[in-house]
Amino acid sequence: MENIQLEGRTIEPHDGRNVDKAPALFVRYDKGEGIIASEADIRLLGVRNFGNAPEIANNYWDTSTLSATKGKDVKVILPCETGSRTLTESARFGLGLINPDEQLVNYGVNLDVDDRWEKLEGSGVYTLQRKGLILNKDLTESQAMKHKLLLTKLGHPNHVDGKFARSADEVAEIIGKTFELGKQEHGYDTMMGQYIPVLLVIQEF
Amino acid sequence: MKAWCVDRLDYGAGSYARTYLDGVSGRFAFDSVGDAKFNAEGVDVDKARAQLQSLEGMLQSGQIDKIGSALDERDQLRKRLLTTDEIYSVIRNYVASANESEVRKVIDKLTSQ
Repeated sequence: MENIQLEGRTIEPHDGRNVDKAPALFVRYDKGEGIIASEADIRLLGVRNFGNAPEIANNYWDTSTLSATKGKDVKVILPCETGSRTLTESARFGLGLINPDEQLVNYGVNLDVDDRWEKLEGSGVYTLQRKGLILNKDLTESQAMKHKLLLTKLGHPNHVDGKFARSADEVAEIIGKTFELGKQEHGYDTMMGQYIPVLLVIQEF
Repeated sequence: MKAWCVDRLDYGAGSYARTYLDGVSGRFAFDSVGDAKFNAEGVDVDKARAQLQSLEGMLQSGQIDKIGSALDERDQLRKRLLTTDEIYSVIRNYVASANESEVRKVIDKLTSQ
C-alpha cells in the first residue's frame, strides 16, 4: 500500500507483524521522524479526508492506542496528550513491550509478570469496568455517542483529563461522520463496535 | 495487552483489541513529520521540538534545557502576534477595496513566522 500524502504530512502504512514493526517505528520515533497514529487521530483523518484520501477510512489500521485487560478491568492507554507528538511514559512502556522477543499470551503481551499491569498507570491511562459496556457488537450512533470506552479513546472531555481531551464537538464529528459515511456508502445503521476478548470462566462441578 | 485496531469502513469501522500481535496482517499507520505542516487538530507541527527530541543524548543536558527554554520563549512571543485578519480589520477603512489583496499580502509577509 502506498504512502498517503495529506497537506504535506505523510501517513505511511507499515504492513507486517506488529511485534516486528513496533520496534522499528520506535527507532524512527526516537529520531523525531514521526509517531504511530493513535485511534483518535486515524479516525479523524479518515473522516476529514474521505473525499481526497478515502484509502484511510477504507483500510484497517493498528494504532498506538493500547488496550490492557485483566479480570473485570479494561485499561485504555492513550499514547499522547492532544496536539503532542510525545509518547507518555506508559505508552512508551507499553509499546516497548510489543517486540519479537516477547512470549505472547493469547496473542497479546503478558501483563502478569514484572508488575507490568501495575506499571500501566498514571498520565493517559484510564481504567474502565467491563460491566455496563456494550462490547463485541455493532452500535447505533446513539450508543456510540455515549460509549465510555470509545469516548475515552477519542479523548472526550467528560472522560479524560484536560491534556488528553479534544473538544466534544470534534469527538462528535468523528463518530457522526463515521456513521454518515457508513450509511452513505454501505447502508449501515450500526457500526463502530468495540471488540475485546471475551472472558472464559471455567467452573468445576 | 494489545494495540487497538480501527477496522475498514465497509466492515463497520469497529475497534478491535488487535487479535494477533504476531499476525502477518498487521498494519501500523506511521504519521511521519517529514514535510508535515499540520497535525490532526490542524495546528502547526512544531518541527523544532520534534527535532530537539532527536538531539537528546547527543548534547549535554544543559544545552538541551537552554534550547527548550528558547523554544518556550518563542511560543510566548508567537501568542502575541496578530493575524493578518486582525490587523486588516483595524486598517480596512483606510484601504481602498481595490488594494485589499496587495495589502493583505504585505501583512502576510510581515507576520510570517
